[in-house]
Amino acid sequence: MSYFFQIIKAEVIKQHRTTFHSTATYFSLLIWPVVIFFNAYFSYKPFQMTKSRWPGLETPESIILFLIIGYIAFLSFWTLVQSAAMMQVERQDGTLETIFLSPGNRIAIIYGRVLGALFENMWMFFSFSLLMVISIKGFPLHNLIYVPLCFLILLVSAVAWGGLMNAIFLFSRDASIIFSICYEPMNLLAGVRVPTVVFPIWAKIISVIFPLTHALVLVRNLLMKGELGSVLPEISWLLATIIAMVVLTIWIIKKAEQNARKQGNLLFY
Amino acid sequence: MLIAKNIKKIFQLKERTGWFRSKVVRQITAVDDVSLEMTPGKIVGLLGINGAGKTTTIKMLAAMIEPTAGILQINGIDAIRYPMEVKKYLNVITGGERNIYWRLTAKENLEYFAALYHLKPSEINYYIEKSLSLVGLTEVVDVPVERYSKGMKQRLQIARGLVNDPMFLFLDEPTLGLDVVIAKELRQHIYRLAKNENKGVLLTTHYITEVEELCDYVYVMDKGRIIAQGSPSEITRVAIPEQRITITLPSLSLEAEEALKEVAAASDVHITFDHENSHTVVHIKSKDNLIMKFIKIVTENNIPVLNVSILEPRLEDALLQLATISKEGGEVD
Repeated sequence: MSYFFQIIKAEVIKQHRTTFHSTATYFSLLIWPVVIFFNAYFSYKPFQMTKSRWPGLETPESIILFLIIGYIAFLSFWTLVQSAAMMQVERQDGTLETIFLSPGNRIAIIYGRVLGALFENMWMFFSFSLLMVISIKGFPLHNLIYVPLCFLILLVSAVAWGGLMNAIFLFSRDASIIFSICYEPMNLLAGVRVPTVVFPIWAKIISVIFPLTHALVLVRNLLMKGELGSVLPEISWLLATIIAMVVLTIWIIKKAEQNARKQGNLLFY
Repeated sequence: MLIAKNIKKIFQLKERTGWFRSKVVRQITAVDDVSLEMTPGKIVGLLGINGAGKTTTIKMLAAMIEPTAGILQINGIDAIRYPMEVKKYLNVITGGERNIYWRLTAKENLEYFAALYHLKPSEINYYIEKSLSLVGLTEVVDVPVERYSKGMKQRLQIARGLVNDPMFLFLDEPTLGLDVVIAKELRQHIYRLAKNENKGVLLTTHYITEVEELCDYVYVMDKGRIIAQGSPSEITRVAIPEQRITITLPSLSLEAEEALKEVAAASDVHITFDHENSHTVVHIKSKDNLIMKFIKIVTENNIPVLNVSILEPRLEDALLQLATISKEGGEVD
């Protein structure tokens, strides 16, 4: 087991060293949340939000908070899709083949890549969003005690999602379709901008497959209402989607390597 | 010991016929019925023209590609069935500047790759120091690889290939594009790896001098098959069995010329004469060493010998000969 974590650690360190070369890179990560914040705030500002028909979002502050939490969580997930696409670079540089030459645990390598990408981005998103949450008028400050739990929920669900994305990019060099499938559909159907409870039934069914959907419900409930009692089924749904994604990831990794050994295509790009 | 018996690789080229459907449009036999052996401490050469199947063979031996048929055993383990079990005994070093992270330092690169081999942290440090010192990169261990010269990157490739202290090392054109000085240094490293570190080395290269200098045994491939094998000198003898001798004389009498022709005809020797103004050159191509017989005839006719040269067949000529025979569809004994 210690070798498993040794590989995860090595992968996280490598990701950090290959991606982040200066402190400017870290500060550049601030730009997205800032833009998102102003985008959400000024998009909704002209409207009369006191007459919102979205359940639980009757005040302007609550809608802005709803949106900010949604976007920050979405970005954490989206970052992992982008990092998975970097598999293409490893393929071109020949390092992917060198990795697969070794007996290193493939699952550890994949989740190491995910964690490497996630830690880099998440701390910045999270700290900035925290500042925004605190600065919004009417935010229940006592709910801040749930921040570590929210972080954990987002971390675990995003890692499960990122593992699947990495495994898909490992399997296929033509996986750019994932960008198209994941960006707008996930943005819309996971309830980033609109609560899933107001969706038509077909959209609700699709939204269930995204772990982001359930993670968002939990995080929003914790930060906005300070409780989880009303959303207990979401915990089961989140666990189910996470387990399904991990199982699927492991299956894809095995199939991908079997296929690569048959076709000799780890080097193709 | 590494034993490959009758390994074969057929690649299937597929064409998409729908969203989730494809059909096999062509099959390519990259490697066909190849058998070879590697033992620790020996350097084995794998030669052949481009497309002969050398790289596919190496990838199969390194458990990266699954053979379509055949047996592959590494230290008694079935490498086709248990590829992950044998990977710890192997490593591959390729020519060129890829396969390493340019933005990392040499040490960071090796730390990462060593961690993939299930080594303890103390072992990782030991092998990193050992391999970097072997290739002479200890002075630049903390410099990012992107600042290295081509030769330094290639040396780092060798160090990377040694981080797991492999028993068998596959070198796929390791001196490709390097200048003569660096290439010579690398050859010395390769020699030391086999002879001092007791590693079994398989080398593919287009530089014949490397093979002549390093290899104990050579396999020659063409169109996916092994067409000749043996020590470099054995292969040369098989491909070009004739010795080429030239004897330079001041002149040659008709009697002496006839006597030489008679001996040649009786011994299945090809003989020609170049009569120049000041001297005569006798060219002899012979499977047997008949030089003393010819010299005797010349001296019996009171003709002084100005010069005798024996041209030993070269491996390069032998390979060209083998390639020609193979192209014509002939068999090599």
